[in-house]
Parts: sequence; C-alpha cells; structure tokens
Amino acid sequence: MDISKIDYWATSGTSFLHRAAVVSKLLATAFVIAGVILAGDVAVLAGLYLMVMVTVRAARLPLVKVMLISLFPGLFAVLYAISQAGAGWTLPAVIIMKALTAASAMILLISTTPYTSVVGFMGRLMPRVVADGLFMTYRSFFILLELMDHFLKALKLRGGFQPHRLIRNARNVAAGVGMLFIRAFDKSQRLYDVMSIRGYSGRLAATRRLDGFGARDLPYLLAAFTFLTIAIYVRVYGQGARVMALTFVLAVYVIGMEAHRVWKRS
Amino acid sequence: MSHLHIPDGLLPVWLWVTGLALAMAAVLLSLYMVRKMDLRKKVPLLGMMSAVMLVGMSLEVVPTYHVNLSIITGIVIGPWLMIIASLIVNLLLALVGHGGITVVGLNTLVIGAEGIMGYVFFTVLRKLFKPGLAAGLSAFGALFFSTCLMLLVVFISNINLGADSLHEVRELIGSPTADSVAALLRLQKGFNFRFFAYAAILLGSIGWVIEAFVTAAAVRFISLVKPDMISRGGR
Repeated sequence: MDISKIDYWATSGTSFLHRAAVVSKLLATAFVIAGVILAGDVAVLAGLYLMVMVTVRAARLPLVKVMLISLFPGLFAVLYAISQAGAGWTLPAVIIMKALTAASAMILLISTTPYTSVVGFMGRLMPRVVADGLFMTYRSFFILLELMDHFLKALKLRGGFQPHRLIRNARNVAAGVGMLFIRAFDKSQRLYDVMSIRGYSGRLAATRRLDGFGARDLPYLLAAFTFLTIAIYVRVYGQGARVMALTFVLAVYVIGMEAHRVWKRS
Repeated sequence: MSHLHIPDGLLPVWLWVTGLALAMAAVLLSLYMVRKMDLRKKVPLLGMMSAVMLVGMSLEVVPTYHVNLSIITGIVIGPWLMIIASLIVNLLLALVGHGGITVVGLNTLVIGAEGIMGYVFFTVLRKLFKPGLAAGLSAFGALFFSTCLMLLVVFISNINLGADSLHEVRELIGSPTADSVAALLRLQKGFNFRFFAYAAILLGSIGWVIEAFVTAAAVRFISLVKPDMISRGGR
C-alpha cells in the first residue's frame, strides 16, 4: 500500500481525467462499482476491467503499478473464490474479477483526484468530526510515515535490523511503534495548541464549490454508464448479444482513448 | 495480515447495506457518548491515531504481514473514538482499493470491534498482569474475536446464497426438473465455508501472534516512557 505514490500521481497529473470534475469522477466510479455488484458474468466483468485499465492508460498513470496495487484485496477474494470452487470455476473467476475491477476503479479515482477534493465532497455527507478526522488523518499520515521511515533507516544503520533475526527485528520495530504512538500523541496536543492559536474553533473541512462539467468529463462517465447499462441488461434479459455489445463499446472506447493519447503526445 | 479486508461486489446487497446502517448507528452512538468531551481537542488526536494505524498497515513486520495497531489505538483513545477512527481508516483504505467502499460499514464494524475488544480485555487483564503482557494477550484475544466476526459475516453471506436461490426453489416447486434440482444443489453446495474458515484462521493466527508480540512490546515501551497514555482510555 503506497499512499504517498498515489497522492503524487493525483496532484502532479495533468491528463484530461485529472482535470475532470470531482463529481463526474465519483459518479463514474459509482457506475463501475454498481456494474461490479450487478454483473454476474465473466465477460461483462472482463469488459469493465479492461475499460478501467484503458482509462488508467489514458490518464497517463503507470498501468503495471496500478494493477499491482489493485491486487491488495486479492487475498480475501482468492480464499473466497477457492471456497466457491465446488460449483465450478466460473464463480471463482467472477469473484476475483469483481474484487480486481472495484479496487482498480477506486485507485483510478484517487490517483486522478487529490484526496482533499474527494474528502471535501464526501465530507458534505458526513458528521463534522468524521470529515475533520479524515483531513487530519491524511495530513498526519505523511508526517508519521516520514518519522517511521527515519526510525527504520536509523535502525538499519545501527545494525538493529538484520536478516534471519526475526524476533530481534520484530522487537526493535515494536519499540519504534511504541515511540511512534508517543510522538503521535504529543504531536496531536501540539497540533491542537498551534491550531487554537490560529483560531481553530472546531471546524476544519471547508466545503468547496463544485467544478463545472466539461467535455473532459464525458469519456469515462459515458463508458462507465454504458457498461453499467450492459450489466443491467445482461442481468435482466440474460446473456443475449452481450459479447457483440461489449466488443463494440470497448473497441470504440479503446480507439477513442488511444487517439486522444497520440493527439496529446504530438 | 491479521485480518482480511472484504472487497466490493462479493457480499449480497442486503448484507452490506445492513453493515452500513449498523456502522452509521455505531458512529452516531459514539458521537453521542463523546458529546461531553472537548471534541476540538480530540479531532487532532483522532487524526493522529488513525494515521498511526495506517502507518502500521503500510509497515511489513515480516514479509507479506502488516500490523493493524488497532488494539493499541483502542487502548489509547478508548472505545467510542475507536469506532470513529475505524471508519476513517476504512474509508481511506477503500479509496486506495484496500477493502471495498460498499463494505466500509462491515469492515468498520470488524476493525472497530477489534479495537473495542482490545480495550476491554486490556482494562480487565492489566489488573492481573504487567501492561506489556496484558496488551499482548488482549491483542491476541481481540484479533481472534474480529476474525470470528469476519467469518460470521462470510457465513451469513453464504446463507444468503441460499436465499438468492429462492428463485431456484420456486422453479423447483413449480416445475420440478433435473436441471432446477441440480442448480439448487450447486448453489447450496458451492460454498465451502469450512475451507474458508480453516484458511482464514491458519493465515490469521500467524498475524495474531505477530500483532500480539508487537502490541506487547510497544505497550511495554509506552508504559515505561509515558504511562498516562495507556491509563486514560481516551478520557
């Protein structure tokens, strides 16, 4: 899990998706997740996954790295899938595809949208303490990660982290964790003092005005909506002409996105 | 890995909607219980402690295994703030694809229960043992509890597979054919819960031991350097 890398992609990217409105990206992600929930067909899920991956490429994100990060929820999915293998291998394949597609869509969202924008929008729907806690957590995460990184570096330099000495390593890391808790506790009090001096009155998260929609919002939003429609159609009316529809939609989307990439590069 | 994060799309809709409703109720109850605290002061602490949990989850103590630090967090901030911290951590994790966004409610309940049970066990055990040992035993017990809770969720979702097969049952009653009987049997026998439970407990138990060890050593360190941190229980 590399949150700092994802944050860098989100804030430094300049693709059409990075510039798209937060609402449109959230809506498109919701369509993909809804498609994942509704789809029970490997072909539909594979189509959805490919569509997300094509968008990842079009957003100029590192495809392999995004794919690797999306494997994190894999362990639960793999165990769950193997447990379902009694009914054949279609269901396990569906389960793994569902987990991968949903995770990829979430990573695509957060890799193209700064965290503050996503939480700023979500904060409208949450109690203030939770919304403020989300902001504070994200801010604190990088401070503490750096602190832990320095601690681990110092530990390695002083010979406290050696191969094949698992118990000793774990004990040293645990002392670091204890230190991390103490530093975090102290920092939270210090942070409160600093914020109080600056006029903190118990409200952190400011609601931003929503961005307007534009042409850059349409490709991903329309593709996600089309795939959701196909997933609903297949669920309601059976499989019918799904392969043809999927191939057509995917082909149009891939050609469009690649043409956009080439045009932007030239 | 001392617990598993459930991804999107695997559990039936009614189950994750119930999970979201229960988590929302738990968060509202927590907010009610902490209403007398100075929340302005608690928000920075909540953020820092949630961030510590995230740092723990990005730290591989042994290859492929990370710690949660939910038990120490529960001990430091107390059970009510732990529920809110659990929601914050799960929302953040869901945004980076580590656990599903639709199952944030269920994952919040599982990790929240882990922290709360850790706090409860520690409160009881510290009267009998030294803080380090009490924390280690609490961590092991709390992780066992949260794994059982996760298995219960999976077991209930499996029952739902039976409920989903109501359509099959109706078809079977309406026109009993060999195909509809086979489809029903496939749905009922498809899920091997015993395998799933054994695998989760086998893999999880390694994580429980690692987390218990790290928790014990960290709490021992804290009890020596800043003992008031673990004696206040979030107050």
